[in-house]
Amino acid sequence: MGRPLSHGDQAVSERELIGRRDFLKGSAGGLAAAVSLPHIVPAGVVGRTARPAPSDRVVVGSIGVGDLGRRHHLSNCLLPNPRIEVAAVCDVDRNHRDEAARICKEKAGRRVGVYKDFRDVLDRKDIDAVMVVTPDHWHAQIAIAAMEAGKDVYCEKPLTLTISEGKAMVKAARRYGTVFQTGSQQRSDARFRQACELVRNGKIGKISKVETRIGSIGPGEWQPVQTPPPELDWDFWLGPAPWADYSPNRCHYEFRWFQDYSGGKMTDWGAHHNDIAQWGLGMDGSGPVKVVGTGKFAENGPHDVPLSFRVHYTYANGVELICTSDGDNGIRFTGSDGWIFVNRSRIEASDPDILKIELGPNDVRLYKSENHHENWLDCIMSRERCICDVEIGHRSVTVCHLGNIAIKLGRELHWDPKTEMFVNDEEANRMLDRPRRAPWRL
Amino acid sequence: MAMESILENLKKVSDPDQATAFRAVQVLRFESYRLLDPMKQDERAAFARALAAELNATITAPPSEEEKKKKKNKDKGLKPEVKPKYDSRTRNVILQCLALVGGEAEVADIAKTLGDLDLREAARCALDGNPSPAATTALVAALDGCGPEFRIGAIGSLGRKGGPVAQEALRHMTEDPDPEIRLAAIEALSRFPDPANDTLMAQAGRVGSERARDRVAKARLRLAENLRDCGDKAAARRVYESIPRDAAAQRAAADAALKSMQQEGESGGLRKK
Repeated sequence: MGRPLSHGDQAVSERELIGRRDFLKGSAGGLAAAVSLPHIVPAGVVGRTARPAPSDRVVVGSIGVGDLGRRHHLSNCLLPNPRIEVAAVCDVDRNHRDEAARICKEKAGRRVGVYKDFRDVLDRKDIDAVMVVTPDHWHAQIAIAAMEAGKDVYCEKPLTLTISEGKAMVKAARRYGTVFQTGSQQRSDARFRQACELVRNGKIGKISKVETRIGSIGPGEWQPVQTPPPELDWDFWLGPAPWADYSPNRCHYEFRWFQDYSGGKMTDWGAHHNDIAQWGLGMDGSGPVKVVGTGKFAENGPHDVPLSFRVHYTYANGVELICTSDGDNGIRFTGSDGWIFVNRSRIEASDPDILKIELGPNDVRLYKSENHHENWLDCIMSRERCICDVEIGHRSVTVCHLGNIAIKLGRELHWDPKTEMFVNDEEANRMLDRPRRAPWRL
Repeated sequence: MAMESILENLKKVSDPDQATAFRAVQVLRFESYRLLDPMKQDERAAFARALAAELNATITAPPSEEEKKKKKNKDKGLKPEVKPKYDSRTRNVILQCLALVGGEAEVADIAKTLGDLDLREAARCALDGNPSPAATTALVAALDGCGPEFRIGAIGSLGRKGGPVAQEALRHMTEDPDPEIRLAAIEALSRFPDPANDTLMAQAGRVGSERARDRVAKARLRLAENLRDCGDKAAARRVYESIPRDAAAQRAAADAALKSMQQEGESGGLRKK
């Protein structure tokens, strides 16, 4: 414990690094108090072209460097970014962490600390912030520990496995003044922002319905139980989840389709599209009040999350949200005067002229971010909240969890977004949290 | 669900064919979900009772070949063996269902499995999910069990459950000889908005490694927040003020909380004027 498996270059002394950390957290915090959302000046705007001085760089530890963590975040976003210095990589799979370390050496020309245990990364006082790209059942555990260690956090979506975890994450972020970005990067995509701004400003009339279409999955295939490969610490991978025998299709990537580790397609894609639905409806910080749903499950396994589903939500203002595995992937807002459909490749409207509307001076403008990682870095400097702050991520995935709970219980549920409890329904409230395998606890 | 169906599915949970076993587990799981309905209390209670009875059911079986070999020359008169009706996998599945549907009537049966190394974690989780006060009492009794990891799990469950019985037991655990147990108890106590717990925490925060002292400071910060949320601002302020400087992140968070409390107080004063 406490020992990196290999040491990164330490060009700056720890004392100097701590001084810089204090600067990031302290003086910028003062600045933040004087600025209101969303007037963040992105680094790109102030014309930073040369590599920033070490004192302007954010030192990042990358926790979870499997395919997404390594290929997308580390290789494409963190290492090429001159404002970031990657100081540590961490994974319970030795192959993942060694490959990540090799990429760091190759792309950034420096060695980084290589760790199996995330707590060793959090012990490093020179690290300002962490990227959490582990399986979902680990997100809350690691993110909360990181916040408690004074680190800022970028945590992949879906933010949580349970609603209670999300509440604990929001509390921790507020307690420590953490700059927290949820990895629902559609918020930093101009197309989705345009759709939401048009909806929010009544350009398709009074909204009556939103459909989020997120796709289905297959039942999977059984594999014989196996001895975990020597490079993988399977017990650590399971962490707070119930013990299960190892087979490869429960682990990397495929964990998404097992309810002990994730919520299936409902949370995997729902955390993106239901997030946009919440944004368009102006429901960040709130949620629906009623939910009912049906789902189809694999008859013979092994996947135990819904393969396909249709969930019907109602908000307090009467707007309906239908989240379904059918149809063209994307989000469709329907109002009294038309509709808008948006996904990652296109935006369409009932009348193409709707998309040409320019917002007026009195129209609502939504938080503008053009790059999710840059927004996180800007906010680390300014101490402002990110475009997909922890509460937004929590509330969006809550919509997904409510759907999964309604499908399982098979009845209409009444939700109070204020107390974040089911109304007069102790039975349903038993589904808000899960016991964690010892010794893990929040 | 009819008793025959419960028995039939329990029999299949350990079927060597993975799909057959999966189907049986899903049937039992979804029956538990279906019964999580305020309108189905009686049906739920009956289902839970049936599962709990099967959890510790036994069968009398003739001695195994291995047993016969072992005792070949020692005892000619081998007696039939009394053993659990179901294997550990099936009993774990029963406990997982009881975590959802179990009530007071099931606590005793669940608690019986706390002594079984293969079952005790699932039993602890079943008691964790069980809303009855008897479950808290059973978890308190489990604190004397062996293995620090299991005891830490039980401590965490008591922290989640709350209530005076759990609090008293956790206070007692802050004197355990094992430092990890003591720390787990301190962390669990932070969930109870009682200023008296801070005395124990402050004591614990004076000893141990840097990491251990930092964990205590985190727990104190959570305690202060809970006190503040419950309206005991004076006690919250005292805890915030006494968080040590060497726990830098915790101290910074405490300073921010104090500042915000001061601002709240000032704006409250302005409103009064």
